[in-house]
Amino acid sequence: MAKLTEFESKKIIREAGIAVPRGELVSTSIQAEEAAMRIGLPVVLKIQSLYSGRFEKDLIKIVSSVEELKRTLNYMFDVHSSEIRLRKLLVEEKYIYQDEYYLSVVSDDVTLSPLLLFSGNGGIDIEKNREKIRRRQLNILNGVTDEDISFLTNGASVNLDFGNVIKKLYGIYRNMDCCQVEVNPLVFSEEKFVALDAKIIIDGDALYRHKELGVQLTEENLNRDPTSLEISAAKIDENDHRGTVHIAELDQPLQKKGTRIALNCVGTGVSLSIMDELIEQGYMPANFGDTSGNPTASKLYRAIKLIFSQKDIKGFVFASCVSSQQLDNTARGIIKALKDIYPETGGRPDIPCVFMFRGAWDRDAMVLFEEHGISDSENVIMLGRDSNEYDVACEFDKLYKNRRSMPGNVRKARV
Amino acid sequence: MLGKLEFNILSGGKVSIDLNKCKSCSTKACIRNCKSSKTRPVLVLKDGVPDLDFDFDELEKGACTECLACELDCELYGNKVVAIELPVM
Repeated sequence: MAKLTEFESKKIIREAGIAVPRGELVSTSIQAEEAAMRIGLPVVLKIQSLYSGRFEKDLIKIVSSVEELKRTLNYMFDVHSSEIRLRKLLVEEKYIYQDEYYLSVVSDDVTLSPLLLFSGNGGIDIEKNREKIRRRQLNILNGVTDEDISFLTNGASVNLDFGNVIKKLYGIYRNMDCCQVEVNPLVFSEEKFVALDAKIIIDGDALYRHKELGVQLTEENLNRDPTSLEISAAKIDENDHRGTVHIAELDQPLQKKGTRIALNCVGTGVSLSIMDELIEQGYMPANFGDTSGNPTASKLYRAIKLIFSQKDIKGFVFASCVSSQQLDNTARGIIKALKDIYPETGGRPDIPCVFMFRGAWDRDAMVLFEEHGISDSENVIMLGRDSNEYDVACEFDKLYKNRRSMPGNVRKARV
Repeated sequence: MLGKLEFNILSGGKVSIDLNKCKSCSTKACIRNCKSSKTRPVLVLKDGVPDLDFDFDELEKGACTECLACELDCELYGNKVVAIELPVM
């Protein structure tokens, strides 16, 4: 899934015919001041990040005077530039209104149909007022009907414009292949409904139809900008839909807490389990890695090259879930990558590595590691289908401690 | 001189085989594990050297499964003449 920023979302919403506040996207404090003067005080300053709850995090500020504007901009650009890597700020006109509404169209995983959500108690406290949200499952063949609108508003007569807003929002949901389109708050001001904040999440599998959005990464729930490694990993799948590669680096504060171990797994669940087990053993996973859905060996090669390019890696773990994935291909990709990374040893790594192959063609995968001489390495332990995630972490721990006791044997990974 | 057999693959890489050294290869290991998205392999033996059983266009659209077996098997059992370039962006 690809989450768009507020500015990107509002651009789509405005083009669909729903009113949004006048606003300008700026990158510097001076540009922000000039934009505020053009729009006219008071203005709302909104840092464009994918964090949710921006108001509570001080990422949104309302300013009414020039002095307040300068002071707030200094604070935002000084403090947030380092903490949340502020790069874009939305300067927007301030609306005066009374009521805040919540309106959203989401893909419902249970009914596999669009779900329309509405609340008369929108705004920043929407999470606290979840029980007041009315839900209406939509028939995708019919779209939004007058009955749906009447149900949402509990039968109350509504402004005709409100019904149009719902229909236009649903139009965005369909035309942009969204998982979710949300306006919160939607307010009624100056005789029209205005979307003061908006969020659009596009279905990652449909992004190829929306190249105009320029989305670099489709991983979900990343409340930060993607790293260059994550963008490179996303490119592996860009034009090749044979299997998938998902790599996410752990956030910097977490990385300081232990010996960094890189990992790659077949299956998200295995990857998360291995991360948990490694942490139990006192290690800190450097990344989340999942190459599954029967990817090509070339995808594995690229994924492993990227994973090993991370700094200060002290070990590597690979584990597969018991799946139908053709693990001999998986093994070939890993072997080719190791031979590129460690050419002088024929692919034998100089950091402790544990490889666990379970599933289809798992024995072939083990044989390939033997044939290429990689499993002979003192830094490598091979585990088969009778092992589990706990075994992987324990075996890695034993190997790491054993190798560390031998001077010069645990070194940095190289590419 | 037989030259090189080269073809592009879907993921953005290139497979290159130095056919001049294939004549003396006794195993033709590159062909042994070759697979395609169809029922026949990509590489076939023709006049004692590997040849393609697919058009370049088909290979670039995914007929080659990019299993890397040709390169790795040639390295172990052949004359080390298969090279697969896989750029990492």
